[in-house]
Amino acid sequence: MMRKIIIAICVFMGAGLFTFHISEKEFFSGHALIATPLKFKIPKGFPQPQYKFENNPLTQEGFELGRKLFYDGRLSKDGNFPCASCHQQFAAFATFDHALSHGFNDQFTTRNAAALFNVAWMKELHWDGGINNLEVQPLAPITAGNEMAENIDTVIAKLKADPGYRRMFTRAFGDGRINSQRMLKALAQFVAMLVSANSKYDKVQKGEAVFSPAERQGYTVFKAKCASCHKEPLFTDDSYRNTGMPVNNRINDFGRMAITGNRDDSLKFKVPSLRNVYLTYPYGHDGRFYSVGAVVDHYRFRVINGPTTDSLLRNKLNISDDERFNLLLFLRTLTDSGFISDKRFSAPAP
Amino acid sequence: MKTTILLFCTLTASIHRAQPPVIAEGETNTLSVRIEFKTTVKGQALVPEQTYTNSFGEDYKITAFRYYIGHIELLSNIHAAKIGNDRLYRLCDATIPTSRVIEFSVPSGKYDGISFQLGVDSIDNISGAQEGELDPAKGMFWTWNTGYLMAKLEGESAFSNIPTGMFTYHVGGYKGKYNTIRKVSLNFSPEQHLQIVRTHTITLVIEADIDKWFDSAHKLSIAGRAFVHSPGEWAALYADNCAAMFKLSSMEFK
Repeated sequence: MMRKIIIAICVFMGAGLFTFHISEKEFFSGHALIATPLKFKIPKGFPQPQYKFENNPLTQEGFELGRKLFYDGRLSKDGNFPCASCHQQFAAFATFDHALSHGFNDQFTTRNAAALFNVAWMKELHWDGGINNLEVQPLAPITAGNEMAENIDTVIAKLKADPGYRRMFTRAFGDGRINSQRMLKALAQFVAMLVSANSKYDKVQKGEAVFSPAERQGYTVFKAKCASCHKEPLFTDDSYRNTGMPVNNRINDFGRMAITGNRDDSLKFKVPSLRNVYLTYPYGHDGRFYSVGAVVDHYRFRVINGPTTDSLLRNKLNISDDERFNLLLFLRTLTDSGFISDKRFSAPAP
Repeated sequence: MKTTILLFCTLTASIHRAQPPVIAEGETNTLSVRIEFKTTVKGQALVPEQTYTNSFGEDYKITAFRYYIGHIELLSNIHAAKIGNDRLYRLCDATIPTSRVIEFSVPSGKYDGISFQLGVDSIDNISGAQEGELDPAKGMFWTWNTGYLMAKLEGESAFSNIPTGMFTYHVGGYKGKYNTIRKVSLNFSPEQHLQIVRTHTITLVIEADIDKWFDSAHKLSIAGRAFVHSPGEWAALYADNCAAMFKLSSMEFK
């Protein structure tokens, strides 16, 4: 089917801006392959994202490449540990039912795998905030001996050897050059697109659904007791806090202090989002809590006061049994079932 | 199906970002500059696998020495000549001679010194995935605590208290008081200063003396500390010593 080609070229001084309308046939036959732009939609009420998309323009082809990489075991040493092995869609891209994930050669990691959604809004990543840009995060699990255990050069060599990847890199970036920067930018495109903002809670905010009376009461409890750290609409304030969990002395993980070298950061960990909380169990940086109720009970009864324990928790949280019951019902409204069944984010056809 | 494409093409921007400096051959009133970084111990070229002794009487062998160079400038009272754009880095590696040669041209002038930066600007530590000399695959990048190393020195010593007998100093960090970025300024002698005006080509040989890694700005024995693997106080001390390693050993004019 022939289509007319419309080309409009606008050139601005300094930074040239080109706008093309071309047919698909032209698109794939032309030597200058140009990828299809993809829009990042900011859900209503969400702030501007932290991730700078202007340095990595989203495209359909870049996203698809990132998706393929995310599900590809070849990013790991023995082929068994794609990103998706610890970040499972049905668990909102956390590891379902594992306090600590497993990596190469039957080794355990030392932390509970973070759920991956709305990461474009995070200033830093990891429980200790050690990663300062979404693009470089995959380097940590890829090269960690107890996770994917691979080195970057070998991953790139494996990708270069695959004609399918050469085609996909060409479509995404205009030529077939494959390097770590392009791999990471493609992965960032896929992961940044994992936006979860269509739970019952969101529908209530938009006037498309109503809370049950118990959920509404739970929401009131949430706003009074939880929301200062688990701030709406992201359900995290992206800060680091010591929530009064005693250190696990087999792991000896002191959290943020390892990154900043500052004693004041001892035992502080990133506040996780409560969106999809009923999908991401277990909970806590080392997965020590096996239910949402157990986390609430920690705040009610078991907060340990140390030098860096958060001032908001020093007196524990005064939540009655009834309030706890309603709170848990409210937290269930944060499950985004559309997100975990979204085909765009599932494993690509081989 | 029509495809609408917006292509933002910043023609003037950093296409050659993080590539080695390349400046076109200039006209007659330009000065061609060649810098050779050498690794030495007590004035002699470093021999890998040879055992040396530092000022604390500790034996050592070097297996790796690498550092980032950036922001090279020829200095003058009148003007400073910057080399290339601001984001050009070179990863110098003691084992790869070509990595330690940098060539460029500047306008002729009365230069009286040279300066360069050791390490990678903070902006390049926080801007995500990089390529070229800053490709994290080059092994100068912390994956768990994002940031580039400014220098890496590894070797063996009987005085190391780590089980492998190795010492591994990975020096980096770009934040606040633990920033490890250092500027090195080396002055030309009055004689060199006079000669540079009358020449078109100079070769500067800059030596980095390994002994000074252990003993210069601070006294840092191998027995006292055999490894640095994170940003912080120790990394900052080694960064000071690293900056003190460099001296201008010779200058040739043509």
